[in-house]
Amino acid sequence: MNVFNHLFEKLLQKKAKNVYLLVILQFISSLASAFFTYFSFYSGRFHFNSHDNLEFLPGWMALFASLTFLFGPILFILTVVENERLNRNQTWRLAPISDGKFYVANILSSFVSLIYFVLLDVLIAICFLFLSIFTNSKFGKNLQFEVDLNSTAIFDFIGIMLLLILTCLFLYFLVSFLNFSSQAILDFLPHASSHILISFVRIFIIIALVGLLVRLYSVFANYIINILLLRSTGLAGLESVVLMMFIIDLIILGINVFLINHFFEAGER
Amino acid sequence: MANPLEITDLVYKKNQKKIITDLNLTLKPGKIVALLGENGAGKTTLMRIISGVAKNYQGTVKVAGFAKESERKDHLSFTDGLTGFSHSVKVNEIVKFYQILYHDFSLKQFEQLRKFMNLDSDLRLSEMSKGMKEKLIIALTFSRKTDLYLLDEPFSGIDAMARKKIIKSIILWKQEKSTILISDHFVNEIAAVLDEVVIIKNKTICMQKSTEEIRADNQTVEDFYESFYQREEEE
Repeated sequence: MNVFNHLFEKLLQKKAKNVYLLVILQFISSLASAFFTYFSFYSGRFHFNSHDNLEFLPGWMALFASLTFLFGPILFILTVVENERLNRNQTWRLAPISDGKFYVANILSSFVSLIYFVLLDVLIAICFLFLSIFTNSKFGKNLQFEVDLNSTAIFDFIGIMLLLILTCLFLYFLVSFLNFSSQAILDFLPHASSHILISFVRIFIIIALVGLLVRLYSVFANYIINILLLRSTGLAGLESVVLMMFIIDLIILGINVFLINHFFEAGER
Repeated sequence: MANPLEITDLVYKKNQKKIITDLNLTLKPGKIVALLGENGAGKTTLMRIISGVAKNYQGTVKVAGFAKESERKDHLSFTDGLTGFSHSVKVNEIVKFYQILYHDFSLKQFEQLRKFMNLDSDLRLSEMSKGMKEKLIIALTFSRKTDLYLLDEPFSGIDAMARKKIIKSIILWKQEKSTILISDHFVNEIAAVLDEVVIIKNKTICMQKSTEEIRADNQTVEDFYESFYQREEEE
């Protein structure tokens, strides 16, 4: 467990660099967008566009918040690529831990880096909010929160959050599965000297695997989960989807751990 | 004490091609052993299997009596190419990585080796020549206190003078009971420190002989290695 913690810490440190870089980029690009929204350049100098309802700081905040939906997916894609690069890397795979545990630490650190990104964004947005309230009394007076805190809304919110987390993990697992299984199949096929041919065969294998997964999912979701599991537990709606996603995540994680332990080699270079 | 390395009936196939067949090898504690063979003979593959990064093999591999890959990795130190680090990483950051991941890593030992190799700890990987990088890899490998050291062509980029100096000192860096398995093309240069020679040919170990026996036959290790190939070719 000690090695797992240390490995997780090191992986997270590595991935946090991307988080900081993207938060800074988001901050700068929102500032630039806000600047060009609120200022126009004519007659040799910049003029403030006063026709806007929002002042500069709240507008910057709104742009920063909306850019989360662009930079969040970018970070997700970066972590997906980084995961697979590290899964194949000899330096990391030589860590004195089983490859399955290494894989879990790798995925978990990516997921935590995503959470960290969201937390940083929320923190910056809160700072913007307080600055906007203190610098603009009109903004503070007009600000109204209306939160409906009934139990159904809370459960729905928790359900959606869980589903989001499980979907994110599922996408990590799915990419790893396609990477591990296609590489393992390639290792069994006769050697091809051409890189183009290898890439072509790999793409073909991935397409075949995706087709197989879709077929398996339809059988699994329709018959096994809906009929056997959900009817016996009496769950419906969002809970059933969350449960189904959880089961699928566990299955694909188990397959990936098996593949990395027994078939997926670290690269030589 | 268990042997540092015990391999039984090892078979490894990749891309429908047998790379290692029926390989058996046992190394005793405290030895320095050369793993010799032509290019593509399977020396690197064998080391990768021992260290647990190559998969899907048949047979048993035990390091210090441990067969599980995670335990094997804990009891051996392998010259890794440091590909997991970005080029902008400094030597001291790599050392921190080793310190945190390997409980047997000795910072004191590393500092001694770093000074011996004339390496600056503030140097970045991108600022290093091939030879300097290889010196760093050797320093990192020997800063761990393990039962088995696997050195895969560790001196290829190092200049002749430094190479001789490092080879002479290897015996001082390892622990008394530790064993070193070293694959290298500079047979004559490493010969002086060797206890045993293992030759890999035709996908298996075809010769394991002590240097004492070789010298008793009035041969140098290099002569022995060359005559071995000549005999094979004649047959």
